[in-house]
Amino acid sequence: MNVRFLHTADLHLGSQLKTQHRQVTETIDTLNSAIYTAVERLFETAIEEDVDFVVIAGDLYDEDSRSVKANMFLKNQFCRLAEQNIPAYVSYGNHDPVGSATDYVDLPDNVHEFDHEDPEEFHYPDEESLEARIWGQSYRDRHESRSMYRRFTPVDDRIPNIGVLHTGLNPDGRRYVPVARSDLESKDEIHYWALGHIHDSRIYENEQPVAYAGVPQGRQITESGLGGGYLVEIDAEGGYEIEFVPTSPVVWQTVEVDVGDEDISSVPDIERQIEQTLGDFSAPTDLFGGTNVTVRDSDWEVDGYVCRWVLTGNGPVHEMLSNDEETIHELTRRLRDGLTSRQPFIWTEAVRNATGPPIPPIDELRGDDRVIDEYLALFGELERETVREYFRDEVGMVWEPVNDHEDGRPDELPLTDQRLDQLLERAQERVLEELALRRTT
Amino acid sequence: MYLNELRIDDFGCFRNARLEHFDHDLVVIGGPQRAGKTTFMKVLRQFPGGVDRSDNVPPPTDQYRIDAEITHDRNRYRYVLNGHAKPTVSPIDGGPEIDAEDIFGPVTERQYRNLYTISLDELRKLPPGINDSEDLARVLLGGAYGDIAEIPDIEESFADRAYTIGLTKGNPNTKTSQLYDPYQTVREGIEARKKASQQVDEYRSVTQELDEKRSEQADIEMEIDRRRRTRNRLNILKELFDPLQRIETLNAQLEDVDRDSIAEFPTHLADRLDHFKEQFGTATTELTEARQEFDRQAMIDTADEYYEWLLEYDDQIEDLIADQALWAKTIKDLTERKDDLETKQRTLEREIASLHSEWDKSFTHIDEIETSAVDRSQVASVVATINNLQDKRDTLETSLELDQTRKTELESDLAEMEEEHEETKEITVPKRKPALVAGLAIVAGTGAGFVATSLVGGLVGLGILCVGLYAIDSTITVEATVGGDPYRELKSQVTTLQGDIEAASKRCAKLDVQIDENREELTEHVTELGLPKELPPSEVSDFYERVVELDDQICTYRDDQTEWKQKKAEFATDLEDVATLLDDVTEISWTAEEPLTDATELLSTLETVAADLELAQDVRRAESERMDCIADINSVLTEWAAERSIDVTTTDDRILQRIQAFNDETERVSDVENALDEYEQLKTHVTTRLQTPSARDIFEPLRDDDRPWIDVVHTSVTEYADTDAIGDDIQEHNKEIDRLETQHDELREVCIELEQQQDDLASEADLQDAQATIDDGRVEFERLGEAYAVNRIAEGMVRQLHECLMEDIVHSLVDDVSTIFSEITQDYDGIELDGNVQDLEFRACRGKKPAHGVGELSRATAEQLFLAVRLARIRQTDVSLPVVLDDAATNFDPNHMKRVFDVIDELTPTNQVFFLTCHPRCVRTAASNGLSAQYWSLNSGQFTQRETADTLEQQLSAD
Repeated sequence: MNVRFLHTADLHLGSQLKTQHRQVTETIDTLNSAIYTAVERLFETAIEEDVDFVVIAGDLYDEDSRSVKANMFLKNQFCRLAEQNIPAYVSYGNHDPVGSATDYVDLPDNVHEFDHEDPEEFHYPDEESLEARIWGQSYRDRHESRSMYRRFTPVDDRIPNIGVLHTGLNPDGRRYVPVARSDLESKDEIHYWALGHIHDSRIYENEQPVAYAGVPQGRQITESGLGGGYLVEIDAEGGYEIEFVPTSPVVWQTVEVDVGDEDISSVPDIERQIEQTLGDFSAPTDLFGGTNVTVRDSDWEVDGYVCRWVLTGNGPVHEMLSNDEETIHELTRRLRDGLTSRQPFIWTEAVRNATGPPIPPIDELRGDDRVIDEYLALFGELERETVREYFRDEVGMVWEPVNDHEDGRPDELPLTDQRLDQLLERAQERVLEELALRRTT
Repeated sequence: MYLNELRIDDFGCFRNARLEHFDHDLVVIGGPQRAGKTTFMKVLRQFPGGVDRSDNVPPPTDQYRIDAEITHDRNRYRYVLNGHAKPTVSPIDGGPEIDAEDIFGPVTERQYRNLYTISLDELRKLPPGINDSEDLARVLLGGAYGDIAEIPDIEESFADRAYTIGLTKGNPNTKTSQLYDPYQTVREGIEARKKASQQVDEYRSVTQELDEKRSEQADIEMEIDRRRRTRNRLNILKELFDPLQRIETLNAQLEDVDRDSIAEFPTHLADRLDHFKEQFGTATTELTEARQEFDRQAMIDTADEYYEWLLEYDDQIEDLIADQALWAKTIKDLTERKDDLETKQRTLEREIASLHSEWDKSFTHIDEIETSAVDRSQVASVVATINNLQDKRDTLETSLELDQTRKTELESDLAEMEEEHEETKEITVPKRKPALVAGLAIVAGTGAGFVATSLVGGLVGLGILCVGLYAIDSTITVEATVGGDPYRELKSQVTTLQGDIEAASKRCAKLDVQIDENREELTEHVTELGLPKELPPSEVSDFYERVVELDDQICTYRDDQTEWKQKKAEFATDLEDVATLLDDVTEISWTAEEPLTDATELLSTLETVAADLELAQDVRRAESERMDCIADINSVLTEWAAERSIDVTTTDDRILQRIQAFNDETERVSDVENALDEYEQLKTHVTTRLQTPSARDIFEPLRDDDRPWIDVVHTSVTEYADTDAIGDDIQEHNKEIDRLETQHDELREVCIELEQQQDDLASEADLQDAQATIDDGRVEFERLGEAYAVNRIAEGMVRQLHECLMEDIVHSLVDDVSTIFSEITQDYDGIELDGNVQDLEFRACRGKKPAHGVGELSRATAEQLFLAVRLARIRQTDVSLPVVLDDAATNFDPNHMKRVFDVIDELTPTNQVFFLTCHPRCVRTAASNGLSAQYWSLNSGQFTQRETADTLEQQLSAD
């Protein structure tokens, strides 16, 4: 007995791409409709592939960006499935908890929504001719401290059992269904864990597949690369085939551009340097190295890229970029004007200055400068966690320490360990640059 | 650096002062107060950078000069300092080129001054030129600290950058922070997004309201529809109310009517009878009037007979009257032609009488001339020939006379010339000759014209003129030839004239013969024609011409007369019929013999009779029409009922009575028929009206089974007394419909507005705008937040680095100071640093006893501590430089002083030490310690080397 279904999550309908694209007309339609386009492609895939059913593992909507259009859109998509007699099993996540979902539209009968009080089991296609069980539970509120999965108890494993959870797989957290991956993997009767909440596609194949479908369309620079969903075929014996279907019309990229060359000294120089990187542009497709997941070579072309250009290198341009903030703005404007009309379009989300002053290589300074040696020794010897703890409070009130990427608010800067590490690295570089600069003056 | 020898010139009290042959590491220089010891210390302080103008050093008399031989890195150098110039260092024995900075290395001038040249006065206070503890720390901590000292600047620069962005705490709520604006933008965006998200609630609310309004709208539409149907039914009822009432009335009215008799009655003849009746009346009237007219206007009073006669001969009269106009014209024509013929006859007679004096007015004269015998042109030709010849002859004769006259004149002149002088004779040409010739020609032509014809006269005149002019011309020619010899010329002219005269005479004779021949021919013609013989030849032609014309005119006159007579006879024949007819009824004076006489009267009578005939015919026609009318009327009446027939004998009153009876019946039948028709029409009308789908639709609810529609309507209409009652009801419904429609329109407007709201709410534009606002702020917010964090972290890192480095350096220094201090004092274990090194808050430690702060120490102990600090710092410095101790141990007791020399002894392997003192016990202590030292006395700026410490001690004791 095997079933074939589409696994997706984190549609976040109603939310917008954080691109600052309102002032440009060429790409606005694509950027405005990117999330809808991606989701529509998913549903199109489900219909074209004639899947048995569709599983959506939470965050269909975005509570902070509730939208009539989103509601109507999703209803229409479910209606399309209904026309093809394809049921959909839906759990709600932290962005569309049932407790505050009173405003969402009434969905057609083919949509089965998991209860938020207790785990619920749905039977595909029905109880009489059972081919698969789908277990899941929706969020009651924005934060969900119940682990839920323990009560996913199929009566047997003679047919495929699918568990649907919206979790960060953080057993220590208290907000997003605290559960460890090993906990899920220990549920032998579950043949496939269809997860949501983490926005990049990833899969764990230690036991049964534990899979995050990721977002169909990245909405911000932290959600780079191709988004999409899984076409999954599983059987009760543990066999499975998973194919990732890319759907995002727009791909986010962070591109580091070395502008440390002596010859680069002006905004046009930087612009040319950036343009030289465009030839290598493509969305990475090697998303699931070391796994059994294949990536579909879909017919949908990438319409465009939203890029954050990180300028690196130690050269004369550093002084210009550091002393005049307008330079970055001017460069941003020029890149937006110049690259948007390309095919696929390149939209500049932001330009970040990570350049340094023209200093000798650190290796040259090492061993020749007591202070630098002391500095390198000082922070080289310390444990990363020690450094984090030491400086965690230094970052300012503007930063809010969070354990999960979902915890940050737009008016706060979420300080995850990863983010703090980035800040520490940047600060170390800056200090080293200043110390080295001290030597040269 | 080691000083091998030193010469000081023009520096304070020193004048060419020399110190030579330094061969010990410790040099003790003793001298009384004001001997120059401190000045010597100041000399060494100038070594690193020369004498600065601002330094507090004694002014030179000429210029400072310090000359020294030094050893540096085992090489000897010559050190020279001149005035305020920078010191120069030059190798003496081939060493590498160096300068003063190379000698002092990392030890700055200030450090050298404050660390290596130690005076008692400066031991416990900030050395000159040191403005703050940072400087002092820098001095005390030396070159390593120099590197570290810059670190706080870096730390501060990071702190400043962080502060600029986010002040102290990186709080975005602080308005003066750069984070504030983007943070607020983000918050505004969040608020906007929140509002935009609420559009979902609004959408639901609007949708619900819209559903309610649409439902309300549907209810109103139903009520409007119901009321419209009722109103429309009432409209139909109102429309059919009268027909239905009428149907009811007619139904009652026709209930007892014999419809067969009605059907048989010839109603269709009623109009015809009316028409006949009208015609009958008209015919009767016309008959009466025609008869009265005839009676009044008939020519003959015996009207009846005359009337009968007229109608009997009506055709004949009409035929005759048809020619009446022609005859009247004929009378006029014949009379006028008669007058013309008479006038013409009289004219011809007068012309005949005037043609010849011997003739009377009779046409006979003309008739007797045989105009056909000779042609008129022939006679005219002969006459013309005669006249022409005669003209020529006359002209020739005139010319002949002129020539003769001329000849006579010439001959007279010739005779005069012969008498006088032949050579001088001049001939004059008379100018009057042409005029005379012209005059003669006119006279002759005019005469000929009178005698013969004007043409002849003209020809004669022309001929004379030509001949005359020719003669004149000939004369002139003759005169020209005489020019040369007037006499001969004149004579020649006479001869010529004579020839001309002779020729002309011959010509005249010939013309006469021709004239005679023609006159004979003319005479023959006159005779043949019978013209009067006495006619002159020149008139014959015209006379004969006139006769021919008259003959033609007479002939025409006679033809006309014959034709007139014939017409008159025909006319008489025509009128004779008229006269014969009219003779029956009137007396006629006209006779056929003189048909033109009384013809007009005859025709007038005919005309009168004809007019009477017309009147008679009118009467007869009126009678006939009246009879026709009676027959027509009768035909109608007999079709209704045979017993109601009439004929010409029926009186008019009777006829009219019968007609009236028919009409009355017709009216009755017509009323019944109309009622029947109306009944049927109304039923049809009602039925038709009810057959329309709309009407069926309206009345369907009121109908039971297959009940006839008309009954359904009739039942409905019985509910109303009249149409006004229905109208009131309709008005009531219309009013309600209007009210409902207004309400419906308002609802529709509300629905449109709600739909628009729905559309607006369904758009994500607000959400997108809100997100764009968030993004706008967020990018800058992130950038600034990141920059703040990086700078703050960097600041912390630098601070940590600084503390770490400081700890290393200070710790080492404190250890060395502790060692020296403990060695000097013996009472203390060492020192510790309370706070930062910059604060110089040293504390002296004594085992487990409480440590003493500097303020708690005795003066000597405190001086020992600061001496220990300096010596420890010197010890830590790699560079070998001379150390000067200027009475630094003055306040120490002998034991402590001895231990100080022990410390100095430890220092001398690396540093040359100059110990300056004015105290003999210091010299003695130095000597008693067994130190290897060289002793110099200093007095008034002059050095004197002493062999032993005792010698120096003694001198100092003596001083």
